[in-house]
Amino acid sequence: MNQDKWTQQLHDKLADYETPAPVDLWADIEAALPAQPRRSRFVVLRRWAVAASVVALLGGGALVWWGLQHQPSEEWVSMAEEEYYGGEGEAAPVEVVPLQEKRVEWRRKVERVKAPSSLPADHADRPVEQKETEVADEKTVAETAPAQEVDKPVTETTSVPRPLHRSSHRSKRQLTLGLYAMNGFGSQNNSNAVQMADALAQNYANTYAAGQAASRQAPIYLVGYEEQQHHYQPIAFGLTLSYPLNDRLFLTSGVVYTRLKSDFTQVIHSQQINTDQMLHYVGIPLSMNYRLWQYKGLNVYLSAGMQADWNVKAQVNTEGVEQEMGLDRLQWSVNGSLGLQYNVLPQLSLYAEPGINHYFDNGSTLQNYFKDKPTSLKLQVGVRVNLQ
Amino acid sequence: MRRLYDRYSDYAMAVALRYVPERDEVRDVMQDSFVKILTTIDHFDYRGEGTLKSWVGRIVSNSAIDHLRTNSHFVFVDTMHDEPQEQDEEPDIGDMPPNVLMEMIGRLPQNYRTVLNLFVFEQRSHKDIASLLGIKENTSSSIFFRAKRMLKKMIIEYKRQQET
Repeated sequence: MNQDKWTQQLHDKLADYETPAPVDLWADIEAALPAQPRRSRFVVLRRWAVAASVVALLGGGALVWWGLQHQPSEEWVSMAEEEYYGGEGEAAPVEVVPLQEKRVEWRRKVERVKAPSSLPADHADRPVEQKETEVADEKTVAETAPAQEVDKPVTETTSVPRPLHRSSHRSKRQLTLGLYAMNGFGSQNNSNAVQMADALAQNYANTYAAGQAASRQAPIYLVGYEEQQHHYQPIAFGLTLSYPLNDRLFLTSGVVYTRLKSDFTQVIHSQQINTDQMLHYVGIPLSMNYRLWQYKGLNVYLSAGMQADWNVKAQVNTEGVEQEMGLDRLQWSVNGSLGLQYNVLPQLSLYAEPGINHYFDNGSTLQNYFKDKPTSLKLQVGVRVNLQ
Repeated sequence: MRRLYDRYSDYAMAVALRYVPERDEVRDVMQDSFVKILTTIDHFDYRGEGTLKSWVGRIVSNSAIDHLRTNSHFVFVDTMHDEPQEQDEEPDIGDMPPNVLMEMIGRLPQNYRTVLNLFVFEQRSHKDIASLLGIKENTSSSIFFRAKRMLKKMIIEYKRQQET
């Protein structure tokens, strides 16, 4: 094809010419369109409600389960018993009689505190076994008595009372449930000139750039045509479980939902065509957390991991026409972050993890935030519940 | 969907009329075109080389050619003689009203009009046109040459009448 100047003039004169279409044509077109199953917005909302319910159920269930396991009123303690007996005018031997661990309600234990203090002196030589039996019969456990509560002669040989020892002080590994929300930093805006397609460029070069060797090699950009992209920050919600490998190292995995939104605008001279793209991903993260420092309720830790995201839904809306798109390929990413965690309650923590994500190119032609900004900052905030 | 139709129906109508000037027939072309557009828009790659508008134009053009083929409007003679390469007078069309030019294209013989449309507005090569219409490549170029000459004559005649 080699159009001369007059032909090109004819083209330019009529290429964008418009003639009013028949008024009643749309009715015929609408009638001829195949019936399309329209997805009710209610159904979509209901799916979201179900998903939210599942998350709430899991989170709520974990809290209830934790609550049942850790009711303060039912806290059982085990302790050693110490008994004091004083002789008349002389230092009485102090015998420490270990009893078998007994589970006694805390309030009962308090009621019995003063019992041994009024023992007569002639009981001093009572066999130890008898005392044990008596104590056992009364289901009383004498605890180490504070000085003001136990009215007894204190001699040089009186041993220092043992501190109360609670089983809850034992160090133990805790499985942790986490709920979090995350987003990236910085929306991306791009505006690109558009290169002429090869087939058109060849014709253009033959017609207008004949003899200009350089122009055949150089890209030819379309005049008055531009494409703009706007990629919004990704938003993610996750549910994770952390398993402690040792006192400092935790393995974390779970499930994450991520939403990506992008706007595309084609500018053709004064005309614009707007397209909205919405991508929904479900991902599985796997990460290791290493605790660096701990002070009271505050923990500082490092986290590094990877994540696989599957695109489960892709929608595009072009000038009000909504349709499904082909799904994106599997998206792999790695991430690293510095975490700060504060224990609001012994079993409940709030945390924030500023960090960095890197998304690998998955080779698809789909344009999204991951491709436009493969390495990006993120902020993840959430709640952790200790399950054990 | 209605928004898309409202936005491009007038442009599509002009494209269809360039191929099929008969009003009652062009309605069928428009209907077929928009059913295709609205049911296949998910195949439209909005980041590709084409714009939505040019994509709409291509579909209308293809529908019009299908309509002409189905209704046996095409009569091509492959034994056309090569036209002498004499230089015709080239009337200026800068001041020509577009609707008059459209009406003139509509008065061209159907085969002339189709080749002219494909070459000038769809910017297809004579090789492509020949393949599309099942004719020889030099037949396509010969038809285009005749169509252009005929159109120029119409324009010159129009201008002459306007002057008097």
